[in-house]
Amino acid sequence: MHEITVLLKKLVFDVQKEFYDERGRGARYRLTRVGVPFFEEMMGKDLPNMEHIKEWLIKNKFCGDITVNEDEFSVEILVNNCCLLDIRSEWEKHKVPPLACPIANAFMYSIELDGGMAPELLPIEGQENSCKLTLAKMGTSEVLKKE
Amino acid sequence: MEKKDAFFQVVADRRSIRDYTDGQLTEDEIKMILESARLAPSGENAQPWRFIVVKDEEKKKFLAQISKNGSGRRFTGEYLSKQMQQRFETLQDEEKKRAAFKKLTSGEVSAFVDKAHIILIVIGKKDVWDTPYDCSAAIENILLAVTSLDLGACWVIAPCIDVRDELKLKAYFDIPDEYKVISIIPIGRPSRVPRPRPRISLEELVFAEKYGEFYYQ
Repeated sequence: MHEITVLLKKLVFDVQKEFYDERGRGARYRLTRVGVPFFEEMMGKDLPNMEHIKEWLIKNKFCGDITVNEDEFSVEILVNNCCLLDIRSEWEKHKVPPLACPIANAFMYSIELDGGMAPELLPIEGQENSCKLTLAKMGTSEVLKKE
Repeated sequence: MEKKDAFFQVVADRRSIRDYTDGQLTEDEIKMILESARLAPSGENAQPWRFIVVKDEEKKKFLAQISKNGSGRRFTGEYLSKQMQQRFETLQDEEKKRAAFKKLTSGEVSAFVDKAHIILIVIGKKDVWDTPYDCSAAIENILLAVTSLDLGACWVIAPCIDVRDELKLKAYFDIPDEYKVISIIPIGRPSRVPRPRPRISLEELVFAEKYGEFYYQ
């Protein structure tokens, strides 16, 4: 990897870590728009549906593969070989759960545009070369039916 | 009553009030509350706080809805990730536990704000050094002034903790970009004053000279 790319990734992590050290867990709620303006610029102002986002990310080599599963209350997105994995690894080294994910933010924004409700990103579950992103679609006590 | 006793009584009596009567605040009461905020300390005396007094029912409903969505979303996420179940692990009564889950995931826990007579929106200038700290000091003064007037208030961050909600709130109330929304504070005449919440003892909170050595043994 080119040193400039390494530096840029380190900087992204450092800035987020400094912000976490200042704001604590609440920092994650201040990062829910990170990356969205870029994806809007690339894919159009009104981010298209999730399938299109998925195809665009794979086509442009941001990720190796993405699978999306959806039910009444949540959307599960498995992102393989993401270009931002190194940043997640930095969080793991510091034993802090990753704060934010621009790819999750793009999907969340698309869902919000579609249904009017902003989703909630659950803690990111890191696997070897993939991340499981789970989005709660909205706040609803109906979720109690799901055991 | 001596000044120190009166002060401590107000501090000890403060509660987060979420149930209100239809009673209104007088303009004198509103002014005293705002005056207490104005007198709060701020870094370099920057006084970065500004306050929007909201009485209009439609605007209060907007704030209630955005608060409900914010809380509901967060707690639904906590339920799905099982964090909520862990948090309530020690609660044995299944019925109570389920009722708590329902209240939290629905967002109702923050939807009460429109029941108050007024809602103060506290915003802070970004172009100063210490806005969150300064505004928090002003908010605490507000809460204590409210208590001293036998009124009730609650410090609510649900409608602005997430940047997505804050942006909606700023657009609705025409808040310029150079300000950050810090919190909202519904204020009214309390219809129910809850019992004090459990507090960590001083023995556990205070250290002597360095972290780890307890001051109170």
